[in-house]
Amino acid sequence: MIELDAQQKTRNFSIIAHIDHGKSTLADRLIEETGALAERQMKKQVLDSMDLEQERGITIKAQTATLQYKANDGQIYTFNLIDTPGHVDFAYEVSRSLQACEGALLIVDATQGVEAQTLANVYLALENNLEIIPVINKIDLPSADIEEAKRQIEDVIGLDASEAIAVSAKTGEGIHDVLEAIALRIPPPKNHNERPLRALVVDSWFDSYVGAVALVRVFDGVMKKGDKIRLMSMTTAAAYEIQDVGVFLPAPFSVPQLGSGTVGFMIAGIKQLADLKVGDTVTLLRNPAEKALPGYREPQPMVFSGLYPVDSADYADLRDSLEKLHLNDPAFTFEPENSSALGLGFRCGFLGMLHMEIVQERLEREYDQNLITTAPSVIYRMTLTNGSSFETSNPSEFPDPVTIARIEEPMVKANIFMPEEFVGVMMKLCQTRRGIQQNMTFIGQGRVMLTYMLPLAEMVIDFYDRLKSLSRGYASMDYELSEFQASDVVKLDILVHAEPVDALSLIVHRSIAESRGRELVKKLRELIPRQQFDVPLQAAIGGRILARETVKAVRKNVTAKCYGGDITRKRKLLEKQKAGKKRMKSIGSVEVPQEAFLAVLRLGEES
Amino acid sequence: MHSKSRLPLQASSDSPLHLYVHIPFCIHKCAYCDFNSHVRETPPWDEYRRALLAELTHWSRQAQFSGRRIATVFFGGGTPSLSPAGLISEVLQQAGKLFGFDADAEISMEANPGTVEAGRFAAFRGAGVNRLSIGVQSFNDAELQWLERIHSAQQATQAFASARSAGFDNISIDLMYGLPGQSLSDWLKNLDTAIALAPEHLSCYQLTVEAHTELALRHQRSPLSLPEEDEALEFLLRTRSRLSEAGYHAYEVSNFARPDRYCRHNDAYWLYHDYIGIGAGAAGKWDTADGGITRYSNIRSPEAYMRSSLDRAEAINTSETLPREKAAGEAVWLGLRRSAGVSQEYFRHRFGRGVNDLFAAALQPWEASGHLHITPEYVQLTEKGLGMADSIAVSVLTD
Repeated sequence: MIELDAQQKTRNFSIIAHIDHGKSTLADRLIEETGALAERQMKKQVLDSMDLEQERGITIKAQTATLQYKANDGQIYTFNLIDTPGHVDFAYEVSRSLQACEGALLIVDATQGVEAQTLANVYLALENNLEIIPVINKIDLPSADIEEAKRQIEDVIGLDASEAIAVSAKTGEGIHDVLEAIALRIPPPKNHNERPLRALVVDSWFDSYVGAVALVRVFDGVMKKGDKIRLMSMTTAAAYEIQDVGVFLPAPFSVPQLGSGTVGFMIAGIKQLADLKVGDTVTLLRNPAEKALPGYREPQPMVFSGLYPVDSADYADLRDSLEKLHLNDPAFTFEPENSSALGLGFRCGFLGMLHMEIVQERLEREYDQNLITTAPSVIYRMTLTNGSSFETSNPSEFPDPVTIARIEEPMVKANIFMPEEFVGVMMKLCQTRRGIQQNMTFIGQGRVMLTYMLPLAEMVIDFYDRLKSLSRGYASMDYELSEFQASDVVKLDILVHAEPVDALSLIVHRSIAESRGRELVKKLRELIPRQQFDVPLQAAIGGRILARETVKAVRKNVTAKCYGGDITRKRKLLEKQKAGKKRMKSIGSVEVPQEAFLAVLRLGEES
Repeated sequence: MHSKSRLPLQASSDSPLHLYVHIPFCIHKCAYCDFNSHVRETPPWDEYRRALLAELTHWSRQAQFSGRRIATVFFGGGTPSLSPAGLISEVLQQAGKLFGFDADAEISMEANPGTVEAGRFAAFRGAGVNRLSIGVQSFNDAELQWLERIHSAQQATQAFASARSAGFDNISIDLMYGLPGQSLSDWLKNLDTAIALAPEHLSCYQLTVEAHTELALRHQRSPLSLPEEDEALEFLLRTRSRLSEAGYHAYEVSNFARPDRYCRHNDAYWLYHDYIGIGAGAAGKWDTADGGITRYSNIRSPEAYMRSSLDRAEAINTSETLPREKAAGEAVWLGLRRSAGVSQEYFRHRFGRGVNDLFAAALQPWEASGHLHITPEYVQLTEKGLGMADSIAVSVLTD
C-alpha cells in the first residue's frame, strides 16, 4: 500500500531540457527503474501521449507520474514527476508545471552543450525558486564531452555544475544516481495539512465516463472522497462532491486521500470542463481557504492570424470546434471577424508559431475542419493624431495613414546558439529582419551565442525555418518578449484581378515593403492556378502599385478524343476537375487555393 | 427469347439510331492505347460472330430500339480489319433484317495499313462497308516505331491506294501529333503528306497519356517531353488553319472533312443521339421517357463477353441512368465539341428550355470572356473557346 501521507518523503519535480536532449527518454527510464510500469507495457516515451506529441516528439500538455523509490537510506520515497513541454511557445505550460514542483532536473546533452531552450527553461525554474539538479545526458555517445557540458552550465547559465550527474538515459547508466539525488537534494513540500484546503488545478481534461478530471497539486490541507468542494474563481458557489482522488502510476490509481504536497487527480462530478479551469484553486465548501493560490502567469498571445472555414457554411461548426479545443488549450484566444474575401471567421491569438501550427493541426485532425489561415501578424499599438489609441493585429483595421501619429510594435530578445561557422549568415539573417545585435559570446567548442533585439513581426514570418535551414539545423533559438518600440510600418495591399483582397494584406516595415510585395506577388503567381482569363496580381501601398505579376489564362484544356464508349468515364474525369475547384475559395471570379493565403510564409522556398 | 432488362425502358423514338460494333482483337497492343483491345494469336472469330448476332437480336427486341431504322454503323476496335469479311457481312445482314437501314446509311470500318488487312479491303466493300478509317497515325517511320505501330509509312500510303482501288470513295486518315520531341514542322510535314493523298476526312488527335496504359507507366518512371499547354494549342490551331486552306471543314475539335463527308456516326455521339453498342466493352445509350438517359457498357474481356452474350444474349457490365438535368449537361458538353455548336431549338425540344436558360450561370462568364458565342439559334465555341472545351464542360456539368 502506498503511504501518500508520508509527506516528508514526497518529491515533486519536473524535467527541463532543450528539445531532443533526452527529456522523455529520461522520464521513461525513471518510471521503468522504479517499477511503476512493467517494461513490456512501456510504450516508448510514455508521457508523450497525445498523437501529435508522439509524432513531433514534443510534449504539449503537462503529464504526470507518481513513482515509488526505495533509496539507499532504506526509506521509500514518493516521486511526483510532472512533465513539461519543451518548446518556447509553451513557456506558459512550463511555468504551470514548475509551479507545482520543488525541484527540477536540468538535462544537457553531453554532445551538444547548452542550447537556447536550456537557458529559457532554467530561467523559468529559477523564477519558481526550484532546486535545480544538472544532469548531463547521452554520455554513451562517442562525441560526449561531460566536462565541456559542465563548463557551459557554469559559464553560460551560471549554475554550479560540480555535482552534475552524468547519465545515459538510453543505457540506464547513472539513473540510480539521479533517483538518489531527487531523494536527497530536492526539498520535500511544506506540510500544511492543518490548513484549509488549497489545491492548484495544474491541468484538466474531459473523460466521457467521469466528466471533468483535474490534475491537482495540494498545497494546503487534505482532500478525500466525499469532501464537498468548490472552485475559488467561481463567483456562484457551485459545490461538488469529490468522487475519487488518486495518483498516476502512470495509470490512474485511487488512494484514500491527497495530503498537502502531493500531486494527483480529482474527480468531482464536474460536467463541464469550463468549470474546472487550469490555474484555479480547489477549496472545501465548509472551512474554505481565505485566499486562492496565486494563479498562473496569464498566457499572452503573441501571434495572430485569421482562421476561416473553406466552405462558409461551416462557420458555426468551426466556432464549436474552437470552443471545444479552447477548453483543452486555454492559451489561444479567438474572436469573430469578418473578411470581405473570406466571409465569417475568427481572429485567433497564439503563444507562438509552433502553437499556431498545433492549434490548426488539431482543428483539422481532431475536429475535421477544413481551414484557410491568413498570414501571421503581431499586435501593433496605434496612436492617432486626434490623441486616441488602440491595438490591432489585423491589417484590415489599419487606419488611414494620414490619421496616424505613432505606431509601436513588439520587440523580442532572442538568444541564438550556433557553431562559429554560421555566425556570418545568422548575423545577416538578423540584419535583414531589422535586428539589433546586443551581444556575442563565445561559449566554447566553437559555439557562439548571439543576442539580438528583433521585431516580433519579423520572427513570425518563417524566421525559425530560415534559421534552421541556413545553419543546416545546427542553430537553436529562444526568445522572450521585450517592450514595444516605435516603428514605421505600412499596410501592404494585395490586389487580385484589380480588387484588394483583405485576407492577403500585410502590415510590414516601410523599408522592406517593396521587396516583400514583389516576392509575394511572385509567389502568388505560382500558387494561384491559371484561370479562364488573365489574372493580374499587384502589391500596393495606399494607391501606389509596387509590383505586378500576371497569372496567364489557361488557353488549352480539351480532350482530344471523345466518343461513345468513353463518355461516362470522361464525364467522371471532368467532374473530378470540378471537385478540385470546390476546395478553392472564390475571390470575385478568381479561384484561390488555401495555401495562397499563407504565401508569405513560403517566400524563402525555391519554386 | 425475351430478357428482363435491368435497365429502364423508354417509349419508341423517331430520332436516328446508330450501331457500334466492337472488334477487340489486335496483333499488338500499342503502349498509348487505352481502347478495349486484346492480343489473341488466333481470335475465336466464329464464336465472336455468334456472340455479336445474339446481342444484336436481344437489343432489337427492347422497346427503346425496336422498330427504329439504323442510320449509321461503325466497326471499331481493336482492329476490325483483322476480322473475316464474312463476319462483317453477317452482322450487317442481321442488322438489316432486324432493324432496317436508312437508304443512305453510312457503314464505317477502322482499318490498319498492314498488308494483310489491305488485301481484304475489296471484300469489306463487298460486305457493305462504304467508309474506311485508316489508322495511319504518322507518315514518319521513326515516329511509327515509337508508337509501336506495326506498319511503315510506305505501307500506309499503299494501304490508302488499295482502299481507293477497292472502290472506297469515302476514306478517313487518323493522325497523331504532340509526340515526344516532335516539332511543329515535323507534324505539318505529316499533315501535308496526308493532304496530298486527298482523303475525304481526317482525324488529328493530340497524343494523350491515358491512365492505366503502358505509356502512363513509362511517363511516370521517366517523364516524356510532351508539348506544354501553349505549344499544344499552337499545334491545334495550325492544324486547323492548314486543313482549312486545303478545303477541309473542322467540324469537331479533332475532326476534319470535305463538305458532306463528315463522319455521321461519330457526330451522332456529340449530337446526343441513341446508339446500340455490341461487342466486348461496347457502350450504348438511349433517351428515357422522363428526359434523362440510360447508358450501358459491356464486359471488356472478349472471352467473358462471349460467354455472357451466348448464354444470356446480353453482356452488360455496368450501366447508369442520368436524370434530365444531368443529361442536359452532357448534351452541352458533347454538343460544344461540334463547330456548329448546340442547337437551342434541339434543346428546347429535348429538355424543355434553351441552352442558356438552363445553364445561364455556367455559360455567361465564358461568353463574357470571349470563349462562347451565344445566339438565339446556337451556342458555339469561339476560336478562343475551342481549346477550352473541357473547362467549359466542367462549369456546365452539374453534380
